[in-house]
Amino acid sequence: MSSSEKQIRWPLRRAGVRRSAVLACALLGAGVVAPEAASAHGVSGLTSLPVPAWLFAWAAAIVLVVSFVLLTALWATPRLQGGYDRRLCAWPAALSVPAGIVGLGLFALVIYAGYEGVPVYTDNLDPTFIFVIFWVAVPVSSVFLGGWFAAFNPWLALARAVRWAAARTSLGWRAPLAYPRWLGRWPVAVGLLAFGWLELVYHDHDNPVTLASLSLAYFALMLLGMGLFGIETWSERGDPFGCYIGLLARLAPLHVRERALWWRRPLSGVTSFSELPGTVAVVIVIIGITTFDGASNGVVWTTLQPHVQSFFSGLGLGATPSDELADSLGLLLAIAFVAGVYLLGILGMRSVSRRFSATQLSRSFAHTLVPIGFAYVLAHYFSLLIWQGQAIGYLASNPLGDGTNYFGTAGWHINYQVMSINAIWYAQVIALVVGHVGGLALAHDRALATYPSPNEAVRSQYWMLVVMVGFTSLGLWLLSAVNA
Amino acid sequence: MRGRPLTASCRLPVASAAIVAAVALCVAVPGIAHSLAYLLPALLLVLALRGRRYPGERALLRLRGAMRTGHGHRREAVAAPAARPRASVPRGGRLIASALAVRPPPLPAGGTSS
Repeated sequence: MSSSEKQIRWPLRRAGVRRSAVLACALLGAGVVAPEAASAHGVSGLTSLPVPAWLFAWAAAIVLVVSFVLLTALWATPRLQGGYDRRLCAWPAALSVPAGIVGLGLFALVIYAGYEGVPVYTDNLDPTFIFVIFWVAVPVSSVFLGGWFAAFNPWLALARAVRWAAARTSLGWRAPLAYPRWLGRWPVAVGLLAFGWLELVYHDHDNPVTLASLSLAYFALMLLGMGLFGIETWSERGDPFGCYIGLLARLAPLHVRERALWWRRPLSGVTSFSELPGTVAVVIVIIGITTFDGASNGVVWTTLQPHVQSFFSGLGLGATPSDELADSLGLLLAIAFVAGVYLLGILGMRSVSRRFSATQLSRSFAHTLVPIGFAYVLAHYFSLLIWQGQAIGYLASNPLGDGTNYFGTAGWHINYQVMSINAIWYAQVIALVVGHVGGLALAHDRALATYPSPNEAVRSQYWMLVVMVGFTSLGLWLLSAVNA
Repeated sequence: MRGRPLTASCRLPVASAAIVAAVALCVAVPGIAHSLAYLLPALLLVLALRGRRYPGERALLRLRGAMRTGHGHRREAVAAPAARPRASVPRGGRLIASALAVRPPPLPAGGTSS
């Protein structure tokens, strides 16, 4: 028996075990016989499911536990910490020019449609393009196809074009400011939070003029940031959408660098995500936004929200500001809850070994939340993508909503029968489980690379298992609330 | 977790207050109780780990050790083909003697005849 193995004791704590068993039975009973388990929070859209929706959470937990056992037994050395890239073929740099032109053209179309199109959110291109295509379809596709958006990114394309032109003239240009290290990725976290607030809280969020104006403001802000701090530095740390989509693209096995297409082990790209300040906040905000989006439709928030709103109304605010303030508070609470679950896991890991501080652990394991963020986004917005995503068919022909028919598809309609509600539910469950198994694998791999003792690594991963099971259960609960 | 640990006399009132608060929350906000059904696996795991119990750890480490040993045996089998016993064929006078003798001389230790 090695010295590290000797440190572990398995005392017979029969009394403790008995107490735990009693507590577990009590909790089990409370959960199952909860008074409104089948009524107020029922899954009315999912009536033909073979088992209650909460049983899916239990099944998902079992899958995660089995994954945890298999990872511990079979995965003995780190395999995802980089260094496994394989070059596939050359990648012409010239392709970025037409891609950038396409990106700039689409951006111009969004601005034009916002100002000149009809102010009806279903008939104007902007709400669907921004909230469905740009916010959901682009990040989700990047997980499978890699970071293709960087080539089409309009503000990045314009900045690179300006740099290219400046290099060929006498106007030499260098970034005048050094990016402060303490700022890290905080601009990304704040920007994503602001977008989440716009989407979920702001009352006039689907007004095309508002969306076009905000898009222009964002474009200008990104150009300013790149001008002050440098294109690559700002893109990596200060561009909320570019960073968010790029972060999810790191999960993909394909990536382009040094003018070549490379293959890497799936998930391994995210392990090299640098541990800058604010990185943990970025992933927590991504999950928190989706969490609030689901929770705002659930019975808990719809019960609490009117009370919070009436509190703000009592302060003399109007109905709309009170509602927005109440939802803002809900959004912050959802993010705080997600941060709390992650913090629980980190403090648990810290209780296993004092070798690392909580800050070190939270930064070191932040990337394990990226697959969870992807799973949440995919699962939560899956129905939106499947249904509302079809609207881009008729909006492409009629982006302004004024009756034009450029491609002959203006007469298309959304087919709500393309997938049944149950099929969507199963797809959501699979997405959540697969994402969390991915997070567990990343955490296991990082633990093997971090802890010198394998036994400490195993014990630390019990806490990450709690985080993964907790997030999976939370995700399924939120989804069942949305589908109710 | 770094704070001063609760004494035994404090634990009971704190635990009781926490349970009362949780029950009050469940009664006041519909849906909270139902969420327990979803979050139960995670809660149970937290309770176990909070008490410094790691369910199945011993079996897990045993399984891990067994898997590693299995891998080690396979690796040794592939890496050491030279350790295989080699056939020892009688040669020269010993071959003639073996052929002529009714009872041939004994084989060298560890050798096999073909």
